[in-house]
Amino acid sequence: MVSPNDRPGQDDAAGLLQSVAQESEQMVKTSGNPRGLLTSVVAVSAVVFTLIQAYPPQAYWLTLLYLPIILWYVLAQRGRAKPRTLINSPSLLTGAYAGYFFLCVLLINCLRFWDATRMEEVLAKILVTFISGMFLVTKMQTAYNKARVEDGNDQAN
Amino acid sequence: MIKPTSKAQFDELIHAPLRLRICASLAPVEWAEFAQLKQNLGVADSVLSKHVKQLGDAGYVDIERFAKLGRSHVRVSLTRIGRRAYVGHVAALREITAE
Repeated sequence: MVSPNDRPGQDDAAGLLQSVAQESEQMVKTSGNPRGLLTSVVAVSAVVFTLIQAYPPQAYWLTLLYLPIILWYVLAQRGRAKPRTLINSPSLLTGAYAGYFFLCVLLINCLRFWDATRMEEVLAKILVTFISGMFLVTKMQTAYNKARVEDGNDQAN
Repeated sequence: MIKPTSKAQFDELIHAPLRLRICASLAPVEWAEFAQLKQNLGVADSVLSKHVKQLGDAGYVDIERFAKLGRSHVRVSLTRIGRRAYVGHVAALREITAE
């Protein structure tokens, strides 16, 4: 044990806590999926979800694009740290993550009402799906990373 | 914020800046490869080895060496005791800032 004199002051302790948060965030980022992978999943999904209504046969073939993404995911996981299973994370289940997840589900269902038939409509729908999907998925990822940092620094079990 | 599950307790061993950073890096993961840990912390092999060994001697981290496809790997992870000590130390730092 250290004597009370060796304990850090308020400013030092605040600085140490900041460094703890930075290191944990850095590890969470590097042990997670690459940003390009997430973008690719959203981009392919936006195209598939749009074309499945307008041009179904092409959309089914486009689902094959998930194969290189899966391969990318497998290769990206090699040598990366294994994320810890979240034990108790109320911020994940009741906070921003769950909120953005439900918005995602809502977005997918709302976009089904947009019946794009002409080429320019299809392109516009793909763009809208991609942009809104990226926004929501990025927010979900941020909330998940935050929950992982909190869980790691507060859960001893 | 989640309520810490470990009692606030200042830990002299973890308190050293680099060892605190090592524990903070290992906290959100089950294990990390030595190479990734070194890259994240931006320190030399020897420095990291020294501090990881000190944490290992205290039973705070587990060091696993193995070979895969002809390459040797070293995985570092926080043990249950180490995680408890780390969470307690972070809680103690929070208490100091709240005073």
